[in-house]
Amino acid sequence: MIYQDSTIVLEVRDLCASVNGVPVLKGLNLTVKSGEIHAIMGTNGSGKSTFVKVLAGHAAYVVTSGEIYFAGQDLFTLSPEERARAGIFLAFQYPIEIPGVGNSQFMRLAYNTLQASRGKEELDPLEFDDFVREKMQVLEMNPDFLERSVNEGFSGGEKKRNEILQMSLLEPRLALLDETDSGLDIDALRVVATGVNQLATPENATVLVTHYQRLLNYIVPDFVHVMDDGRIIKTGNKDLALELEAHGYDWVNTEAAAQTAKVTP
Amino acid sequence: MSEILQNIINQPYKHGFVTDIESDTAPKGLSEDTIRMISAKKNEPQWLLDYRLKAYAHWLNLQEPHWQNVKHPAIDYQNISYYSAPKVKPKLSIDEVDPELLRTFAKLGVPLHERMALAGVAVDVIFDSVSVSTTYKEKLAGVGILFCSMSEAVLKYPELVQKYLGSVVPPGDNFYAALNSAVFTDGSFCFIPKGVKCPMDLSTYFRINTEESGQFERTLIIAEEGASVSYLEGCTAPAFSSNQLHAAVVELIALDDAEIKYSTVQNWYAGDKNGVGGIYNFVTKRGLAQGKNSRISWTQVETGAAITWKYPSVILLGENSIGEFYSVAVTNHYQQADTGTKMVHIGKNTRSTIVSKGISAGKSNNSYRGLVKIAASAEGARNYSQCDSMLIGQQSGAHTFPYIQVHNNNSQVEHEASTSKIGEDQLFYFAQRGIDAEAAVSMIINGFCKEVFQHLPLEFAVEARNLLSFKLEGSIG
Amino acid sequence: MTKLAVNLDKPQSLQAAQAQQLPSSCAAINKLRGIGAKQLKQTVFPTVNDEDWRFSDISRLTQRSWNLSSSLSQLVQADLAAFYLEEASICLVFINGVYTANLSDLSLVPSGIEINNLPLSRREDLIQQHLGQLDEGDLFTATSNAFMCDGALLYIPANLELTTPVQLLFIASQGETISYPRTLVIVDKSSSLCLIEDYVIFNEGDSSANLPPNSKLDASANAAPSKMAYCSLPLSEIILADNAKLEHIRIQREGLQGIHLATCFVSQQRDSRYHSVSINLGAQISRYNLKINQNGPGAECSVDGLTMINKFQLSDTHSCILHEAANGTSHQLHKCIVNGAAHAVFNGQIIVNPGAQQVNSHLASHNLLLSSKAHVDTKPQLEIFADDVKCTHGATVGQLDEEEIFYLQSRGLSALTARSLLSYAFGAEVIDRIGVKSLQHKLKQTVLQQTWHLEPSQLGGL
Repeated sequence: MIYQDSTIVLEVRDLCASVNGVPVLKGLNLTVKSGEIHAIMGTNGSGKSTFVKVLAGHAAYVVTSGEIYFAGQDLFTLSPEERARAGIFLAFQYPIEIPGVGNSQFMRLAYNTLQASRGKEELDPLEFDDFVREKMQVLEMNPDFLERSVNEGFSGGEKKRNEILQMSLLEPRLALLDETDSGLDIDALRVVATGVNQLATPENATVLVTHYQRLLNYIVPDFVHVMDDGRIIKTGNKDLALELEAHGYDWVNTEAAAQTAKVTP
Repeated sequence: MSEILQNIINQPYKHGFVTDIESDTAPKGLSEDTIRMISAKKNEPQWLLDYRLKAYAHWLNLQEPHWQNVKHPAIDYQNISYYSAPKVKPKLSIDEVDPELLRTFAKLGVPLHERMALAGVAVDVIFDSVSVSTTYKEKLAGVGILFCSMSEAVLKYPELVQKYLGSVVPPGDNFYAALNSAVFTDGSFCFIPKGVKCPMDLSTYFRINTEESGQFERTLIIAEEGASVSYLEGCTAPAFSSNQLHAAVVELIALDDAEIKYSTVQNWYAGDKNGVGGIYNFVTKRGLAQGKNSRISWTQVETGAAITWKYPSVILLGENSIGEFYSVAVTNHYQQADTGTKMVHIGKNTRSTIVSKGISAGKSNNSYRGLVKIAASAEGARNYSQCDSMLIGQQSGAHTFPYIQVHNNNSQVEHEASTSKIGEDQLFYFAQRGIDAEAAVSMIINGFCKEVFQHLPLEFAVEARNLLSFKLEGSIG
Repeated sequence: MTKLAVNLDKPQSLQAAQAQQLPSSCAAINKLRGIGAKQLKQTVFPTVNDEDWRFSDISRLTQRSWNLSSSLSQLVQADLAAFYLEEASICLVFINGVYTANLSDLSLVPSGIEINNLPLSRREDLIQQHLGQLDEGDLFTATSNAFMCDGALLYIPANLELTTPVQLLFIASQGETISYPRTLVIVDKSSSLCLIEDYVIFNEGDSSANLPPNSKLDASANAAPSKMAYCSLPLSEIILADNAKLEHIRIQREGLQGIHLATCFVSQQRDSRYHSVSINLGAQISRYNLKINQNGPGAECSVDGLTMINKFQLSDTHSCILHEAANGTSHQLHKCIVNGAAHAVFNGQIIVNPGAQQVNSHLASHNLLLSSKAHVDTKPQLEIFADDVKCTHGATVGQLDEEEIFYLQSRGLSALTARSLLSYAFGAEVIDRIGVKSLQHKLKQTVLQQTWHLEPSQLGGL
């Protein structure tokens, strides 16, 4: 939802980044204010996933120029775990499996680490158990998932639900969802979308990266951005996603090229 | 991120000090005379000298094994001292043990005086080649348990030693076992008579202190009908730039309904980060589950030694007997480990379980080598094997060599293997949830090894956990 | 129509018969036949000296010639009552490989979705694009191409979920014939489909055809007493686009003198899900080759199989799951219950190519031998060329657990009942994964009959 006079959560200016020396982001600009939901779409290799990983601080992505401010703070001064503690949450496209580490144990450690850094009360295992079970109901998750190892042997859909469960526990200021909808059946998509919608408040913001327009039938974005070759080349409202579905990405590219042609003297 | 991982793994070896105790060390070299000298120093009976000489003759005809997946320069068996003992006479009362020695054990984190007493552990300590003290002897004797050094047992219980020594690992079993049979200097002896459940964990700490001395200890544990015992073994050595040889033999015998649980935390000096120095740990450990319903269980945490070559095995002879092997092997830098087990099913309805967890970091190589053999006579036998490897960093290697031989059609053999990795992506996932690298590594490693640690006695489990996080601190990236 | 006959091990007879076929009305099929004719020249009949056929001797196929065409079927819908599934409102019926419109039901195919006999479809574009694109040109795919006639075409366009299952019923009704059932499935972006392939026997010339349908189904389900010898060489091609999902159920309950050599190719694009359950009960000799290529990242597949055979049956399942892209998962559970002097073969190959990092793969093969002459060859084959993967495999061959039997006996069950219950439970684990209830129920009855040594009436609520 777009609110009048809301604060800026994320400000990205002319961001350039590369992986193994290959430039992937080439001057990306984006401003996200609290309360807003932004969707980023684009073809494979356009840089969508790279962008959210750079925001979360993945070491394999080297920022070559540009600036990122998160709630007014220079993001580059923070390590990945400090970013997480400051309220940036990334729901992974491919959540990592950690054999032998209990899901509940992992989530409680993450939760208490964040609580401690926020100066809030930590929960003991019993309190945490009650707390997490309540959250799981919203996501229609079987409590058995608490006992299992983190993501181990989970189906694709179960992993994605587990990510959203963590998001609901950690209550981030900025949620980055990296293709959370891919690999989901319609029913699972609906459940995940409900979870995301319930977590949206006027104080936080969400950036969805998606490959499929389908997600936006369930989570209605305030802005839709189209990425191509490391830049946002078009921004619109939710109708843009439908146009993309109907005409394909080539249509935007042609249009963007046409616009570029016009402004070139 | 890689830097943090480097730091976490690469902490220095904390047991690498030399204890300044005068010792009585034999000149280097191996011949019949060396063996006669060892035997004479220990006042051994003639039969044992004969046993040694026969083993030596056999050893001369054996070749060093080369099938294992490890590499090392040729060992000069004439450049090793085969006997080394603290000059101050070992005393049987713990209060009279050389205070320097006690300080050594305190440094090792083995305060036998207090901690073990509180933990209720009876300890036999092998320092270089000689057993220096055995605690709780009287209390154990009260229930009929014989627990002492091998040298003492040879003199006091010759019939028992003569009956069982070499009955599970014959003198000619393999190159290192033959060498051990010829030159073994001391070790632990433990006899649990019929029907007795050992009231406390028994424990041996091994330490090599002298440079260029070899350690060849010999352990023999016998559990008679219905008896049970849990036995713990720990090992450390100072840091020398040359390699030292440790070629031990452990034999376990379990009669009907008897149970032996043997746990090892091995932390021999592993060499420095460039692969210089360290112990060659070439050990033969074998249990004979001779009686019906007997059970032999090996649990090992192998973190040290430059090279480990070790296959604690169980021969499942008795009907319904059970063999178990739970292992964590960690290698870092240039360490090499080729370890696993053999489960030989002979009796009906025998069962075995193998759980092996290998962790390789740095430039190390870690191999699991296991044999499950089901003889035609082993009707209804079952085996479950699980071999998991974890790679840390880009340059380490993990290898799995499971051998399965089934000679009947009504047995079940199940094998599972997996390889996983701790790398940047795994740690990034934790970091993104606010958890730093150190906590992440410790959580991942402990989770990975959980199924093995739960088989260790509590105190050992704590030690093993610390040892592992200490060993691997700084190695990921 | 001239009667064409072929010997599978005689290339000349195959080539001659191929050349004499009447052209199809569909250009794509004629093109494919041309390709098949060329492939025929480069393939030979496999023997046990070929690694892929080491454990399966199929030389019996070469001892006779097979007729390529059959006389028109006299079957009516009522004959097939036992085969139709209540959940499947869309059904295509092929008799000896020939599409039979009057027994099929396409009335409920939603608009936009294309489900039809392939030569009758107007979606020539799709057929041209996909038909024959995945095969690897062994003798059986070559003959399938060279002799293609009819086949099922299923196309689900993007963002559509077909909620009812589609049933493909392949009926063998005539002895001495060879048929080439063909299936082409294309599930487009973010769509989903549930497909049931059902291979059955209905002997039109056999007096047992007069039995009530129910008993005939049950009989043919595993141990069809029919003496009818025939040969069926089905080939399926499945294309799953980004985020598409297919539930694929495959039931092979051919007659006991039948030969069934089937191939299925699956191509998976990113985020797609392929779940299959394959049940092998019938045929004298059966072989199922399943090849799954995960071409896009994040693809997921689960492949479950149950083979239950008796007497002198031979059933061979060869699967190959190829991970070409990162973050894929594959789970495979294959079970065999082998009785009599039957022989089951399972070769499960999983290949993780370089670049396919963070792949998670699990392969399990469990085998139950119910007699001393029963025989199983199982070979899990993992080939891993990427360094950050998790692959596990497990294999067991065994008889029933004596302790479990004893436990049940101690609760008052007879030893025979205890054995039956445990054998049944062994097979039921796979059947439980079939999402179509009526089919699941029927198959459980079949497993019960095979494993149970009591009257079904005594089984109560199982």
